[in-house]
Amino acid sequence: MEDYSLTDDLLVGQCLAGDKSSWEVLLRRYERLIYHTALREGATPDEAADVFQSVCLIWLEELGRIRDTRRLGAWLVTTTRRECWARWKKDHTVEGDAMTLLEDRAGEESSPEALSSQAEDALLLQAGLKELADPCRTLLHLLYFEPKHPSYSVIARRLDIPVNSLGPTRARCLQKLKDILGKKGW
Amino acid sequence: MDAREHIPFETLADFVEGRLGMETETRVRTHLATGCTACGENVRFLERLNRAAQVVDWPAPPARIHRKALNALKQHDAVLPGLRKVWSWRLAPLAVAVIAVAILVIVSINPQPAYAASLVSFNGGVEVRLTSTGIWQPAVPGQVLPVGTEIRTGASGEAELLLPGGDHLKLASSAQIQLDRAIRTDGKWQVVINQSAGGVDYWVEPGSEGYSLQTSAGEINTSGAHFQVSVESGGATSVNVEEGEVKVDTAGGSETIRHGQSSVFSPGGSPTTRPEPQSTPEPTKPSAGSGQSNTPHVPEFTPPMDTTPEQLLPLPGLGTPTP
Repeated sequence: MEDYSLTDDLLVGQCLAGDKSSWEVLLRRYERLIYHTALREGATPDEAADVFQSVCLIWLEELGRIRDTRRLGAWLVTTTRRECWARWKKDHTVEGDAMTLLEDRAGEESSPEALSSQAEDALLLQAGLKELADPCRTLLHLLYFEPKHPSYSVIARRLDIPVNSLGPTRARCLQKLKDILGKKGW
Repeated sequence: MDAREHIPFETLADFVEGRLGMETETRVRTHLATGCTACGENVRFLERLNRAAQVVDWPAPPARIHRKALNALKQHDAVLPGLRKVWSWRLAPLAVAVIAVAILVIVSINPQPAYAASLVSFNGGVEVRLTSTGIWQPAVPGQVLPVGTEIRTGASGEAELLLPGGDHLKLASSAQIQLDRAIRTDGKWQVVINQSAGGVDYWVEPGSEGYSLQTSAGEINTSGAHFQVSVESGGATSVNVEEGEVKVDTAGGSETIRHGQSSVFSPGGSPTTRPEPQSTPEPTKPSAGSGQSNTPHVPEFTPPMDTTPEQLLPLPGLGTPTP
């Protein structure tokens, strides 16, 4: 279970000291971001897996040189994109600078900062959910973080509440979550 | 629904997720278009929440790839473990020593000016020249003066300085000194001042060591005295001792000047001391932070900025002993 109170700065420091568990936390925190970025760049799952491994090795090599760990997510997105394009360039003839082409292609929403913020928000959101009591915690988890995206009727059965009360309950729970996240600087 | 009425949170959540019917959605949009801050803030929160929740749909890398990445730290360690351990436990003291030596070298090449005096109070035109700037600038009340600083007073200026060992000095008008040295050895201060013009009143606390005053005509040393020194054009120097004693060293010889005595000496000459006390105007003994007026800069400094010490004469209102 991830400890959200551990900052990237702390984890990087412990990792540099050889603490494997810190590396595992960092990896779990950012592996989806890296892999997702590679897939977004058009890599096949196998290619994305290769890129993911390369990025992890670069990450480890550069760990001690990353000065601003607040931008770690954005740095990983950029590094992943560079790796994708380096591989793509090796197999294709590309005129011009790969990164320029990449930046031209990337919209505002997919900027390294935007993707990284999205991933960080997800972590913060999960941390906020943990502070909620049930049934809010389970309800919001099922609504927003259950990969299978269960229907309202399934959720109502699971929580043992009438379907028509799900809406008002969700609204109350979201309001509570908003307050919690507001205190976390959301 | 009134377009000005706030939209329930539940409706906004459905709006953000695209669950509303066209009619309700239009009403919500109309309300938001009015610029409702509260509802706009709720919509932004819900949109951000939904964007963050999308991350759950981002696939994780396959488990075997995750394990490989996890093991990458071990492989990474295998390349540099020795170096990391050596660095942590053996090179650290060496690094500290190297840094210390580097600091010493830097300091010896470019020593930082030490604190030599503070400007307790002043009146009229008073200027200081720091070694760091090399230009004369108006003095500032309470200004800390590093070693090497020169201070000069204008025709109507006077300034009182406090030295780190507790000694005081007061420059009369048209005087100039330079704080040549102020170092502490075995708990006692060694002070060297070069006086090039005008009259200065010195209070050196009893028990002081290495208090040395230099002029172009000679050197005055004391371990505790109240005395005045006046340097005239051409370097002729007069000393009047009010309390304690001072020793005068010149090219022509040395002499001890005691309480009530005065002495005059010129460059290359020997001191001429009169046994009888000379009548001198009573200087006011300064006291650090005694609340004397610290007139910041008064633009009445008459000598031009390129005036030489000699040109600052005629000399002060301190009594000049008769030879």
